Amino acid sequence: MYKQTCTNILSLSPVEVKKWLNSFDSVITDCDGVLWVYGNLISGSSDTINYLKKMGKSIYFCTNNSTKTRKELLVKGIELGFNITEDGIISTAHATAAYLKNRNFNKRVYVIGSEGIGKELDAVGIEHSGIGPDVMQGTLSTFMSQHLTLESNIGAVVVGFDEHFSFPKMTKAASYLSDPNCLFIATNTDERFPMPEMVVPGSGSFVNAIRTCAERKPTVIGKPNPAICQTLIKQNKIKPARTLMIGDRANTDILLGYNCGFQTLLVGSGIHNMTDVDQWKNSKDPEDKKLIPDVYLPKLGDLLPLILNSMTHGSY
Amino acid sequence: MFKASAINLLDLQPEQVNSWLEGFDTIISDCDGTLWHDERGIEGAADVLNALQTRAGKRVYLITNNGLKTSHEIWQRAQRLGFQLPNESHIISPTQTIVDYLKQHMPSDQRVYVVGNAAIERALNEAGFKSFGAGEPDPLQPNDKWQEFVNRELKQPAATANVGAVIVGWDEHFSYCKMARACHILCSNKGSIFLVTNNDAVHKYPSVHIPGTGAFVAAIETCSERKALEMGKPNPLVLKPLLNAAALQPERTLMIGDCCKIDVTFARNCNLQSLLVGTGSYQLETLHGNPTLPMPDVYLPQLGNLLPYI
Repeated sequence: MYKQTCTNILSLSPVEVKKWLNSFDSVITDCDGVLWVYGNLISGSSDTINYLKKMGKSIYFCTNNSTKTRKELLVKGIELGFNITEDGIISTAHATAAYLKNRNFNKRVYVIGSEGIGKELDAVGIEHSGIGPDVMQGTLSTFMSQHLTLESNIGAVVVGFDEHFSFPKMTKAASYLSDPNCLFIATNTDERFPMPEMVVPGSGSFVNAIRTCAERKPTVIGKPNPAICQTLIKQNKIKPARTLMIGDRANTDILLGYNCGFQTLLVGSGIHNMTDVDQWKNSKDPEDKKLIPDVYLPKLGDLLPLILNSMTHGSY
Repeated sequence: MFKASAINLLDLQPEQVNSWLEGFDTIISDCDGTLWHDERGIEGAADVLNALQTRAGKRVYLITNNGLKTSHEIWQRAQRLGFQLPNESHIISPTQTIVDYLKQHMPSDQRVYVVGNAAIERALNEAGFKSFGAGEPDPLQPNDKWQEFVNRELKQPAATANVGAVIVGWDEHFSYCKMARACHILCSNKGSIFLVTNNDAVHKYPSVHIPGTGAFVAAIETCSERKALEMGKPNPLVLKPLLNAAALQPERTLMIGDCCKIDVTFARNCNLQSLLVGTGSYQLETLHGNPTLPMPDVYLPQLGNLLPYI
């Protein structure tokens, strides 16, 4: 409903809100900037999600954040008051491991990323190396002649968020990727990591560095690549037309919604807002149209009073 | 002459080569892969450039994208390998181009943050600029977390106070912390200058591929959403000082290099004539196999081939 019109739900009548609520059975929601920011709950988001669940909607969290395992995200969600199970969490670390497992990957993975990826690979029995500090030793010539060791059984390079990113890691990745048979996988391409008031590098920054020196494009696991939801769709757990995607970043969340045929809700509590949408509405570039959500709310918590209102007033 | 036709000069009659030789007064020559490989001179290259000056009356400049050495250091290597040039000002290098640019565009009391090697700092200091960061390791400590690093170090006013420019060069100590510092400066001060020595993506050796400066700057450009100004070929900006001094006429200047993508493109960008030598990654067969490559006017297997004609 309201396809790509960015209709503000606050402007709808209770009857219209009720009709909209009845148009979807599943909800996939982004986390950073929608449910929480850094370690703090965004007001009203847990009550809203829990109520939607109570109404019978199936709820999935879908995050591009590759630094945590599903278990860790589950713990965070529960601590912040969300009624969620591990099966309801889709994360790029988990999806990356699943992607390799589904391809019957049987070599080792060189990982430029955080513990989350390593643990998810361990969970599916895929061996890996590279996580943690890898600091430059000596000069370039002694590094090349003495310190640099390249393993022989690396079948994939995975790049995600890595606070220990370094020149030796870049050298290893570029060298492994010079073999066209070695897979090049990016957990996600978000250029910046969400952090209040600060601009700090996100996975996309590391991925672009490796993209440049490897002279290759990666397969991107996370939003907006529809692959991240393929399992849910294939297993019939969600029907795209009756699925609502909620997000704060249009070029990952809303675009994922567009790519999968979902309905989309943009919330203004994170990266993008109405001003950005106006720019895309006025743009001549057809790609920008894909970023326009169906509906909009300033924040997710604004939805709960509207739901309750529609229950009492909307049933004529 | 022979515009973009990649003609092998060795296939021409001597009179044609002489005619070609008379078509230019100034020569700008690449270094790595054209005149030398590190500390080994390529056979005949020094003899040719020297003869072109003494016998044919041409003016010669050397140009390099090598951001690991100052102009002075490149001048010293040139001398060691037998290349005779009037003086150091005949060397065009990214560190020199950076210094010239900052002199024009940045107040001298501003500091410069360098994600790069010590040569950049040497060149900056020689020119009277204050810099920090060059040649230093800056890894995240094993027991530190990136959020704590950001809160502790980047939120301080000192992180951005009086920093007028971020320079990126080749950096074997490249790290997350350097990326974060550079992005913070570039985003906090939109008027800050953002320069990169060159955008070479990778340097390929038989068993290992080494990231080029282009890879380091890509990380910072992605996060900061700002593009660095390239201080090396093929940006025609590097020729500006010579053009401003009327030291050469583009149409009567020959660019000699070993790399199509960088040297021939540079020649095109500046409206220079071009000679590709086969002592790097590109030989005649490479050109024939890749018609979309920027084609040089003429070709020689190596620069030394020109000696009999001078």
